[in-house]
Amino acid sequence: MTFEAFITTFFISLRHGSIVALATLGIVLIYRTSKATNFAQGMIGTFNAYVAGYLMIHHGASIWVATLVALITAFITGVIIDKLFIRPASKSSAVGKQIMTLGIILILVGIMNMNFGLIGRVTNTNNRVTRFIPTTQTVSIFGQNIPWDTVFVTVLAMVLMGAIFWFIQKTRWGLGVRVTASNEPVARLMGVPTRTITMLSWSVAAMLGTIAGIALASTQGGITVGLLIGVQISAFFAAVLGGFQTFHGPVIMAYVLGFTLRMSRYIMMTVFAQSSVLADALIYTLVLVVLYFMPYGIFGKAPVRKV
Amino acid sequence: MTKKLKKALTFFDHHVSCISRRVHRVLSSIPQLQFVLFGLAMVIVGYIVYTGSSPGNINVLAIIMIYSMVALGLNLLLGYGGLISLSTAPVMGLAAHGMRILVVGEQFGQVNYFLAIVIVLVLSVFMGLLIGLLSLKMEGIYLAIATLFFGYIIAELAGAFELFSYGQSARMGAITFFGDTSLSWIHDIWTLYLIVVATVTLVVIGLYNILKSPTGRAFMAISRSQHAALAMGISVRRYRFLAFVISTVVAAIGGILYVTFRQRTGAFDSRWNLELSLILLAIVVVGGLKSFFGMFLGAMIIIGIPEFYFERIEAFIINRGWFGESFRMLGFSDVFAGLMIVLAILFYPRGAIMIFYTLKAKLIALKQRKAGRDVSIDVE
Repeated sequence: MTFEAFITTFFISLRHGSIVALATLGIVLIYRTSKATNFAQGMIGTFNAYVAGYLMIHHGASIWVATLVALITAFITGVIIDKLFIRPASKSSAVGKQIMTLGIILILVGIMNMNFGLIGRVTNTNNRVTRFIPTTQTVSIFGQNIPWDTVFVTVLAMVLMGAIFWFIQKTRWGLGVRVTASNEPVARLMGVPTRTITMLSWSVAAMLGTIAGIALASTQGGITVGLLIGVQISAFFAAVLGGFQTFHGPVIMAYVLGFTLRMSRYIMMTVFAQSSVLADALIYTLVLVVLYFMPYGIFGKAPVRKV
Repeated sequence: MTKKLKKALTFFDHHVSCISRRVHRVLSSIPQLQFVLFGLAMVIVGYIVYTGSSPGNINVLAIIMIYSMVALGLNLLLGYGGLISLSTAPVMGLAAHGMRILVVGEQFGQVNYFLAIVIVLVLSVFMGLLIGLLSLKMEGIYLAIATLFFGYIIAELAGAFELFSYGQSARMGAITFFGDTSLSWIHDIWTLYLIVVATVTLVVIGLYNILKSPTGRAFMAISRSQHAALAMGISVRRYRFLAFVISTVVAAIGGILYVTFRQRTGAFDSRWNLELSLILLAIVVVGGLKSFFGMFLGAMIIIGIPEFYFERIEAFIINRGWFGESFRMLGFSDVFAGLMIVLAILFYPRGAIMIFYTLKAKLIALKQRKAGRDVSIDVE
């Protein structure tokens, strides 16, 4: 493997890892505050990325304006989902909530497929979702031309996640999030507004998913219903590998997993001349073996349970 | 005249109650009989659908039967074992593809249909043991994602090899059972439907027997409290393996039935995907944990009603074009299925099968009130 190829692969995987890390943080945030495994994280992101795509393609809005509008709709989506679906079901079991998110997926997919002449036509046009910064503008890093867009997406994701970590660790509301995550009923008794915190974490997760969706759509040029399915599955794997008990573990593992997958694909294709799918299967089997010996993730620890 | 009528009515009433009491007695002495009766009812419903105006719906009915059976296998895991698996759909897909590879025999030579079933089932036992190995260490969401991993690896590997037609759907063609008897999906769909109903009934009776045996009691004890079960001398490891093996084998039977009925293997990314695994889980949760008929009810709510009813409405609207070309209700069945799942979990967290219990309680209350009113009239 040449050094140039390594640099290019490194930046591509950094960008993809950032997208996965954003989705992962959303999933972990929701799991910790409302004890629900959110299978709908990807679909909520796709749904709001559709809004941005619609504005860009049919009304010629720039990606910045479209992203801003999509973020606002994502916030509203999060509030609606929490108010209508998750909070009324707070008494049902963990599996019940998990299935509830499947219901949300089906509803969102259905709405996207309803062809009102609005959202559904996004995929049918030849227009494209543009990048944040045109690919013609590149920066030279170690002699390789890396698009500014890649750098921008990576930095944006890192800044966003850094801000969220700072918020969780240093502010009063962040303390509320941590308390809610560790023991919700006691936190409520102590006067922490757990309902608001749960609602906000759904909204923030929806916004993170939307940014991931738009960033991914801008590389692909179009939006389909299955845009974030792969990202969603990778995010789950990263979250489990990092350990659901921590906030930082899943994000680190999202980058590590993304980088390892890209590298192994590249090596499998160039060195062994085999299908890249085999590389994926190999890495996932390896992860499964790691999980067998560290069942609660690399950063997590086993939860203590009363008998 | 009225007196005679009244007498005849009471006579009739007496006999009806006698018969129903007798039926109850027989059913409670042989509870497996209720599944046979249900199978017969499904045959009748299937016949009505098959000879009716849209015989194509018999496909949906068969799929619902297969999915309810697989969901019952999952229920054994979730409701009785307290374990979870998200690799059901890929296991079904692998069984379907495996049957095609063995029966069509492009690579390894042809194998008899029944021998192929045995080989696939034995392989699925090994697969269940592998998944069970994961469950020894993990629980809850960790186990769910680990099984998701497992299913994902299966799908990825299937997509890499030509043997599995690169994970795409492939035709199997008519099935030769004995000598000359061959059944094709186009001509003998009714016979194939009968085979599906009979197999599902047999598997359900088998699962019922397992759950009523000491093994089933052990599952129950583990699902309530692992530590208490351990203290009573139940080997938790062994029964976890057993639960995964049983549910994997049932899923494999589901895959075999699917490929026998449709005679296509189905693609891993469009049919045997995460969504189907989640839908099977949804059938269990919506139908009701630890219930048998709840699985059929759940499958009917999530798959049946949208397929039977809304697909037709959508076709109607598209054909007429009431709101112009652009207005299409293509996603309506999805929205409806999603809403049904959400509503069922909100209002019947213990499963939709509880509807019948609520209705029964209401009926008894109504009867009692009516009896009370009759008494008061008599006093007057």
